[in-house]
Amino acid sequence: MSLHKFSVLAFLTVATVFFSCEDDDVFVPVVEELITTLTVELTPQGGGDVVSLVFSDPDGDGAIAPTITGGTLAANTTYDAAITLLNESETPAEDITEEIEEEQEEHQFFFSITGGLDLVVSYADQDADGNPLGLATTYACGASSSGDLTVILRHEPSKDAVGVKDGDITNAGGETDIEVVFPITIQ
Amino acid sequence: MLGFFYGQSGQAQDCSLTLSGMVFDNSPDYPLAFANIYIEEIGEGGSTNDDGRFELKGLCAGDYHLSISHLGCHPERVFLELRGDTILNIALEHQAALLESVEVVGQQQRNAGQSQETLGKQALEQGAGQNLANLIENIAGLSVIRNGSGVAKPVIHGLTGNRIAILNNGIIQAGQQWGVDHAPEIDPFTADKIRVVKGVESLAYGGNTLGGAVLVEPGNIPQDPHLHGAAQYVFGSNGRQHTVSTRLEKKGSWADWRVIGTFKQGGDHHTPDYFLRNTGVRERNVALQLQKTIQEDWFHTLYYSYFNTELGILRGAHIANTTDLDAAIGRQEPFFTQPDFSYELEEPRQRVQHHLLKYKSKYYLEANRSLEFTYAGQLNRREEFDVRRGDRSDQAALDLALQSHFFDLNWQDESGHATKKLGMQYRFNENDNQPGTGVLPLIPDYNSHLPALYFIWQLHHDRQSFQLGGRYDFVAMEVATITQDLPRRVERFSHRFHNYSASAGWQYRISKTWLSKFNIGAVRRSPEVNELYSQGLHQGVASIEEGNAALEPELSVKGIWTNSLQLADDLWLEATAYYQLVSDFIFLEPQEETRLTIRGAFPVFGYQQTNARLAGVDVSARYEWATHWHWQAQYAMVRGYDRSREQPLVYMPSDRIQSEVSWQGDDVKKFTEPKVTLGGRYVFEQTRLLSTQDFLAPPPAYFLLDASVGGALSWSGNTLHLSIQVRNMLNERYRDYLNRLRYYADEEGRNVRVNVRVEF
Repeated sequence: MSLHKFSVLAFLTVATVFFSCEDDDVFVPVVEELITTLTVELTPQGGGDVVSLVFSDPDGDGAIAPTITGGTLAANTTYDAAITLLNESETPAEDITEEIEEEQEEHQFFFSITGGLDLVVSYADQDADGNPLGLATTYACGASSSGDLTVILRHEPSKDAVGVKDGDITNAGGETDIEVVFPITIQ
Repeated sequence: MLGFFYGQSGQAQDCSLTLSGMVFDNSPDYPLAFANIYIEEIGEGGSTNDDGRFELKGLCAGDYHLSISHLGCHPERVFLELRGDTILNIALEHQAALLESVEVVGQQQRNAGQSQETLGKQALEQGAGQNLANLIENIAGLSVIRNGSGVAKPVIHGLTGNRIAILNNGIIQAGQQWGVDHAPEIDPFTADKIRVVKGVESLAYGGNTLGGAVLVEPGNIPQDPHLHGAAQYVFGSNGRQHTVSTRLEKKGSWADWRVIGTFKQGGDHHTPDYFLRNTGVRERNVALQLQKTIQEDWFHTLYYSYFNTELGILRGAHIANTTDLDAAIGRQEPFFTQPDFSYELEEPRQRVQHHLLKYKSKYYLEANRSLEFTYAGQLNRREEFDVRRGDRSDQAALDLALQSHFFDLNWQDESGHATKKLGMQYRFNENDNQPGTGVLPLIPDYNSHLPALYFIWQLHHDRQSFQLGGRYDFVAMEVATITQDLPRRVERFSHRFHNYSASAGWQYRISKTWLSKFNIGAVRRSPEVNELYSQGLHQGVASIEEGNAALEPELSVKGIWTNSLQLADDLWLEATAYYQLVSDFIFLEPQEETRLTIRGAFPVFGYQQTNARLAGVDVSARYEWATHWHWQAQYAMVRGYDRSREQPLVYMPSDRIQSEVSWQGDDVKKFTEPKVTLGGRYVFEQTRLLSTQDFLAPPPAYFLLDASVGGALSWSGNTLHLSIQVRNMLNERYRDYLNRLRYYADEEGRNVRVNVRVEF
């Protein structure tokens, strides 16, 4: 067999292997881990109007800006707060809150207050180890004021580190899954 | 490093044959006096005279193993079928040589004007167990960009990644090289030689080599009908890493063959103060090489290699947003640091497999004319695992399969003093994201077709050589991206690029002791898919990286001038200066906007183009001031500058200087090559950077001390090499500017390596 024949044969053999695979099999992945929406639902103890704080960003890391809805709370009132997490990029929306509940030992919410807002957030739930989780909390509002509330969710924090059980994030470590800021007014 | 001519003159009579020839140092044309030539079968030999010549008379026809040795050189072993009077010329590799190596014998092509440096067998054996980039780090002008100790990429004259080519066995490595955290998928144990070309590499290889090339070259299988091989074991105390590699080779009756297998396992590395959690590695590689000659004018080689690695990325470097980054940067030791050593690999980790199948056939039309056909197929699978919620950590967050097919057909004419080569190539790449990640892909699906034409013309005339080359590449790329906004859709894009390259070289041997080389090359490099379309969050640096589909090709012109001088009988110097202008230089620029997501606000980096300038100097020197004492040193500096924005380029290596003193003793009977070395390396602080160009100022300068002691034991054709090397002997605490994990952790502390090799 001449070299020429051989080359052609080798070429054809291999060519048939890959020219046949046209790149038309692009699939759109289901984005599983995404959290698009965080809602804090605040119900006054002893009755009154329910306030919802909402952060919504359906395109995830994409260029479309999220929408943030802050809230106005009543002075000298205590609220029961419940956090709901959703992935609304899927239809129907996926409830991520359940996932956090299932992995409660590996997660913890932290709350920080800036700008003179007279608000104290305390944990109202515990994980299986008796450490705080933060899906349920109580918001104690003081005098009229305004400022920002930052809600942080950490994955794999060290809950045993100094201050972490009391809600101090300084020594928590881990990765931040959520970090959103809500403008709050108390009046 | 050897070639030989058989001048079979006269009648072959029993036991009256003469073997003669010369022994060279492979530094430019430098004959070696007092080299020993020893014929193992008859236990006799001789040595070379002042001119490097030897003559052995009264030999019987037969098959012999010769061993050629010289103080300060790595011994060579040659198999010879002695049938008539024979002339044998041998180039020995100088142990201390990190200088230019010109192959002085045989029909080796020289690339006129190319500046290149070679790591030979001995250097590769000494450094065994390390990855490719770390092995070549000691060459002047080279540095390494890292993402922790396990992931390292070579940097040549300040450029890396897409701008340099890595050639495995003559084939451009088609791997997923989309970032600093993607290391080349090559087992250095398969190489007999690693060459680094700093100019525009021989255009026959193609690829967008703006900044040079690293060539990993397995040697030819020796024409020896006996089974030979080597087994090597290396233990590194830091990371408790074990490496075992075996090589077997034989000239067979049907075909010549070689098999190489490597196994590596290591655990957490250690800084002077703490373990770097999750920095282990597991590697399993195998390579098979077959060679066959049909009717003396038709050569075939078949090569297959499989590379499989799984490696951990420092756990404390896995961060999710800028708050985490700020918290991680200021720490004494990284988050998640454990008090105990572990071999365990957890997330974040990478699993990479690479297959290369190469077939090459060379057919001689006439004595000087040949046709050569090459096919190379590569398959690369890269899986990256992140720390994820909801039991998804075992599910890859990035899962890419890249296949590449390459064909080359060339015609070559080597008549007289000139060599002409004409060739055409076709390359096809297809990259597919594998289903099941649950994450939007960072790099989209794409395929590209790249036909190319090239020519190379070389002329050797007396003391001068010239080279001229040209190349044209057409790039047709089809990309399918997925929209970020909802509902998600597939969008398709096409790109067409025309790339041209040209290079010219001139080499002039001004005198016996002075060789001067000049090379100038122009290369147009079209943007790669990651520069055009990467989309997503870059873990580890908490920033969003976005491609720019409007990028145009960048055009580089690089001039490089090298002088190799023998200043005295025992003093050599090589100096290289280079200057490179790149217009439309593609780089990642921090954008004005920060992007607000549910994890907080992220800085956004976009690919932009600017005009850049790189310039630098590399100097190597070697001094053999006494019979047993050698000294060598290297110095390198590079300056990168953004001419449009009038600011420095980021990720430029800082200046570095290194030096080594070695003592090599005489052979005492069977105990050979006793050697002790002491080396030091000083890396300057990178001061040419604006504070706005990085999250953290570059780390201060550092000095590292290395030492080694070793020797060999020879018996009836077998050799046992043993060496103990200590890296970072003083257990220095330091960080390196080119390590992306410098934000989080110190570099490795002291590492004691035990290296045992048996050759038979």
